[in-house]
Amino acid sequence: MARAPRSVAGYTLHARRRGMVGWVLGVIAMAAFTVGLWPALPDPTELQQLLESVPEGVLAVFGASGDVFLSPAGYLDGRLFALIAPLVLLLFAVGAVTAATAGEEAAGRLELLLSAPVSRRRVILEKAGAVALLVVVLAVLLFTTLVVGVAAVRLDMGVAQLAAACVSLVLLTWALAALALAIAGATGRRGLSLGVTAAVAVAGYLVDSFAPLVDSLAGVRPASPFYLYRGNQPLVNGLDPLHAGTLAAATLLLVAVAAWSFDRRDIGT
Amino acid sequence: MATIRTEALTKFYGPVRGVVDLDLEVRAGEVFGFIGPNGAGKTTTIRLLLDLLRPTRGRVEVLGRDPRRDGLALRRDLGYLPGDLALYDDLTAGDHLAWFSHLRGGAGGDRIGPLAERFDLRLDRRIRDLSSGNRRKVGVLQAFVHEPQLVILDEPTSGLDPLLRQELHRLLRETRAEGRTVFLSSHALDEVEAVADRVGIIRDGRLVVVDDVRALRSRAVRRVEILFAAPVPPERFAELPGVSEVEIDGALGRFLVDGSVDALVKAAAGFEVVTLTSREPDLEEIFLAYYSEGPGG
Repeated sequence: MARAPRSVAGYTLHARRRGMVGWVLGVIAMAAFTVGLWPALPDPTELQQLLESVPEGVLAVFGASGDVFLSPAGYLDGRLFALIAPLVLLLFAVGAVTAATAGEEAAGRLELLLSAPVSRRRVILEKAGAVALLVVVLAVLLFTTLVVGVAAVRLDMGVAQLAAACVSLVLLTWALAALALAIAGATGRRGLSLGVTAAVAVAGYLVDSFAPLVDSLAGVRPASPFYLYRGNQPLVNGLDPLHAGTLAAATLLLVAVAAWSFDRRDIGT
Repeated sequence: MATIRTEALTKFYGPVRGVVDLDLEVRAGEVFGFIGPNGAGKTTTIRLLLDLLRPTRGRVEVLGRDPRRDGLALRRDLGYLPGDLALYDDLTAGDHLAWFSHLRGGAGGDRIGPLAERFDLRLDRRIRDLSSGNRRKVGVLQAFVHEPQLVILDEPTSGLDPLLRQELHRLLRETRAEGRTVFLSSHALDEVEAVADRVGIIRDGRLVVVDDVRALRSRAVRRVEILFAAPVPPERFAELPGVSEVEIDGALGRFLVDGSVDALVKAAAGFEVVTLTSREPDLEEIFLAYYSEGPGG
């Protein structure tokens, strides 16, 4: 029997603990599977010749450039960090953060919680903190699995670069989850929060992946969260302080907006 | 000192009326019944007191504090049972109660066990697996365990069986005996009548009347039925002071009396009376009287 929660954050973690099993196993399997397939890939030199005949633009659509596609970094970036890993972490974090806020509000539970001596700002911050922590847990598991897997299959990949990619992934996830939190905090509407956040994430992804092909997108590309996440190729170059800082600042700003707006409105039923 | 005081408290949801110009005063140490039909504004009022809603205009003061600016300190001394109770039902009853006690700095933690026993609630069961009556008990317990200065109950006995309803009423009386205050909203008027000292009636978002339960009751008409040994002449009962309706059916007389029954009893004393029954007016009748009067009624 689990101990009774002692705080809002404690309850939020408690409420997530069953579902976490699935996410933890999913993240580990995703990383292990990706790394484990590396030795089974065909001889890189044969593929390299084939790829040289493919226009650069086509490769860009798949989130890779020809020269790194068959490198370990290019492989992990294209197969894992470009889409699958952020998709999984975003599904988890955005789902968890809206369930803990707008979801509880729609169910009428916040009415009881807010009749206790806890401030609304504190409720938002503790819930945000709990979900942020769980995102870190998943990212650490992803990182650990990759480090172990890379060593096991002798994939030539630095631990520091893996760490940079995972940190960048955490920052991307936090920023978009904070957007969901801000909308949930300001409106209490779960569907709106999920919808807008999904739209921003998809638009950001598309802008970032098509920008190399479409000149007119180049101007807006730096505003894409996905560009800030991996435009600098963290698996090769490590973290870009400006990009990482922008994502972190956006997160803090959006959490502040969530707390501020939640504190100002009627709690709905 | 007033435990709850509102002045011209008004809440609109966009164009939709919640409550209008509510002037309410609930005194320390009383059980205040707040009655009205569904949609009259009872829950809106309660949610304004709790700072779940922000007033459109007007003032609110609860336990001498502003719910908005001083909500944390205020809510430490407050217990609340929502009408639409939604618990964190993935927790066990015991964990839920312990959690809320932690949120209150540990207040009432040692009373969870005894109160659960008193209300016959098993603490080790997950709330989602409990019957609706047992969930209701969890709600009642979390409102009372920390012995707050003010308990606000929104339709507290809906879903409680009669035995538990009595236990709750006992708890309300104990609370009052300790000098604490209870604000009890209900559309079940007999319930308020059983425990309240004073009653406020709300209708269409406005407070219609506030009075003692006793005064309200004495103000209302009562029905008196007298069975005589033999048929009586109706003219002997016509135009008695305070008797507004007379219906003589052979030996049976039915009367509607406003205030004192003295004149009727003295008139009846001239005949042989077999039985006399007088029914106390319940708040339902009083309530209907108020409800059919007034503007637009």
